[in-house]
Amino acid sequence: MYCFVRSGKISVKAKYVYLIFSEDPKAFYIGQTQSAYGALGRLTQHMSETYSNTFIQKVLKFYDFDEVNLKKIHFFCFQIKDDANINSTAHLESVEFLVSEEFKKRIFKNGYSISLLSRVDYGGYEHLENIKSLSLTIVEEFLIELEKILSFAEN
Amino acid sequence: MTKYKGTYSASRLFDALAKIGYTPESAIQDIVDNSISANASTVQVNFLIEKETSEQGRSKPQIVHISIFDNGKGMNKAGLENALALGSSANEYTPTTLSKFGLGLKSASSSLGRKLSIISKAQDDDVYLAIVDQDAFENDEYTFTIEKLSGESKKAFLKKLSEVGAQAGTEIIIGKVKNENMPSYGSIVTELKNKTGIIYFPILRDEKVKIFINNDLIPAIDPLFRNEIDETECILNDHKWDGVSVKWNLKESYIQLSAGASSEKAILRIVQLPHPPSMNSNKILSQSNARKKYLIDAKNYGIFIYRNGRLISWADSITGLIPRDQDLYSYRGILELESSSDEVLNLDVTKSRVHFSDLALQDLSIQINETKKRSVNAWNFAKSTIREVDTNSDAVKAELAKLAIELEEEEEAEDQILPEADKERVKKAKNTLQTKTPPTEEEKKKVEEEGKPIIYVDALLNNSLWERAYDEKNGLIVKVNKSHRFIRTFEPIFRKNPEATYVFDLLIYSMVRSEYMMLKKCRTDFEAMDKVYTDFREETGNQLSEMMRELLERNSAIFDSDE
Repeated sequence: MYCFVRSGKISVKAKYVYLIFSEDPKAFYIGQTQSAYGALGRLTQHMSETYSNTFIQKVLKFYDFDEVNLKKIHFFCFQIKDDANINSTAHLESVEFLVSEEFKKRIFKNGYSISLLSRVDYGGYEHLENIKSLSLTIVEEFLIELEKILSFAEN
Repeated sequence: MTKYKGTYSASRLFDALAKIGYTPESAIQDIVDNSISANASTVQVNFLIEKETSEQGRSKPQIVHISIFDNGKGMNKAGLENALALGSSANEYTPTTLSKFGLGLKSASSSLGRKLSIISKAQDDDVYLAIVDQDAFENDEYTFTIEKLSGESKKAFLKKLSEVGAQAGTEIIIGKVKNENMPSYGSIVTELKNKTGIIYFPILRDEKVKIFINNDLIPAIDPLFRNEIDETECILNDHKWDGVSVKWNLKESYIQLSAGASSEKAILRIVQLPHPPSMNSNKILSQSNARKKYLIDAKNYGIFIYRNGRLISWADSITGLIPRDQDLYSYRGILELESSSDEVLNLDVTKSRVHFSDLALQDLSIQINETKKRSVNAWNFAKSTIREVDTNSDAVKAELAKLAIELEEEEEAEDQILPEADKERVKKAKNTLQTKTPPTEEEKKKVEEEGKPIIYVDALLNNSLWERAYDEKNGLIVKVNKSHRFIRTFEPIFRKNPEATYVFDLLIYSMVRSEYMMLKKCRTDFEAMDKVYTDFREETGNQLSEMMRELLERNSAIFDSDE
């Protein structure tokens, strides 16, 4: 078992929107965090045996598994800079919401059979232009990375 | 191990099939589905009635038979045998079929009557007549007859075909109608005529099929009235809606139907239909005509679920996600499924009950929870706009505005009697407070319109719930963040209870006034103290938002008001 981390900066406390992609079962999870341990810290929680392992809980729930035995996991995160005007958790949730909706739409339109397991409610700021444009940027970045993995898998 | 051949009672079997759950209208529509699946471009539904006189001497129409004629591809002898088999061959079904289990014709017709006759002609073939008469089952076994049709009956059928320019077609005739178990003839026909245009809307809209009921052509009716939406305008703004225009509440969202299943999805769209009293008030349509046109009524709000272009569930509440609430009368959506989703949705024989997976319900609840709030807010906003002057609410507003002025005057008076040493400091602080946070022109206008010093704005920095501002003309103003989760959740309650709004307004105004007074009297570092208040507002906003989110996650209906 090994793990490849491209940059240590993802352990820095900041605002992140992240994506977990599981190859088997084929599912993804989009979330946001401002954890003191950065996005990597949040991933650790998701994969742990603690109550914060929301990703694991969702897999168990939606796939009706008794236990989870994940194969390959890919993790992408987007660090939001301070000048992006994302000043509260509600703003960040709005970004997370729009990223989830747009990502789901693009996945379906591209014909990928991958389920989105995460749940995020409206944050209340989805109508703001900076939130919309940031969300689209994040979706584009995630799709670029995801498509690299998917086309590699197909070949 | 000994094997046995299973036995059955045909009469009891057909009784059971008859009770699967059809209404007369849905049974007829199920048979119409077969016509459409057979590529018919014309379907004619006709009722033959006779008058029956009751013991009280009143006459009422009784249905003698129901006929559903189409110019589809028709059936030869083998086709008729298959059609009458219990569980017709699945090979007959295409991916876009409206049919599913091969029981529809038998169960639908049994729910209506005890005799089923089918006259059918395939291209370049003879005309056949098949009859299933439940009163003629021999030895309680399921039997039917098929013979070539001849004589006057054949001529009549061929004439019908030629009238629609067809070489093939089918007529289903249901006799020995169970009038005693059915609603009145009038209500059946009315219900059929009212609903068929919506049920087959996509097919009728694209003019693939024409449906006639008692010779009346049924027009396509879009349950969302999308042709009235101005696509250049943005989606429903629940604080500005005029109450008379159809608006998108949710233009499009993809709903995942199941985890792990291929790419099964459905598309959800939701609109806000007009508020009938607003239509009346604006002299566009009377209330009753508006309700009639848009079908606004207790049974018609919710999600209309379509499968392969045909409605399968009318105004579905999606397992109670859409509660019974008259403030939701304008709330209507459609969910479009494809037949490839049948297995993940556990569609039943009547094709009218859908069972969603947990993942589908998760996706649906996110969108429905938000859009229904918007719909209720918009409905109540429209209501409040046309409401005649509510003297009680206006009186409270006026009192609050008056109180604000009186407090200003009192403050002026107090400042004048301060000790000399404090006067300069207080004057400087006051000046900073009054110039630091001026309201925008739009906000000033709102204060004038509202007639009170508390206004609701689109957003505030850092998700704060409130902020103070000062205007020379209007004095101290409180801006409340209407995008904050607390306000969004409680707004329906505030709208229904104006007094609750004023309790909240009073609390917020007194808090802001206290902030203002404390800062004015500040004897230490003004900037540092101002920062503390700013941080306090942000922290309160965030704490409240988190608490609301937590409470709503545990019980999404916790703050729903009773009907």
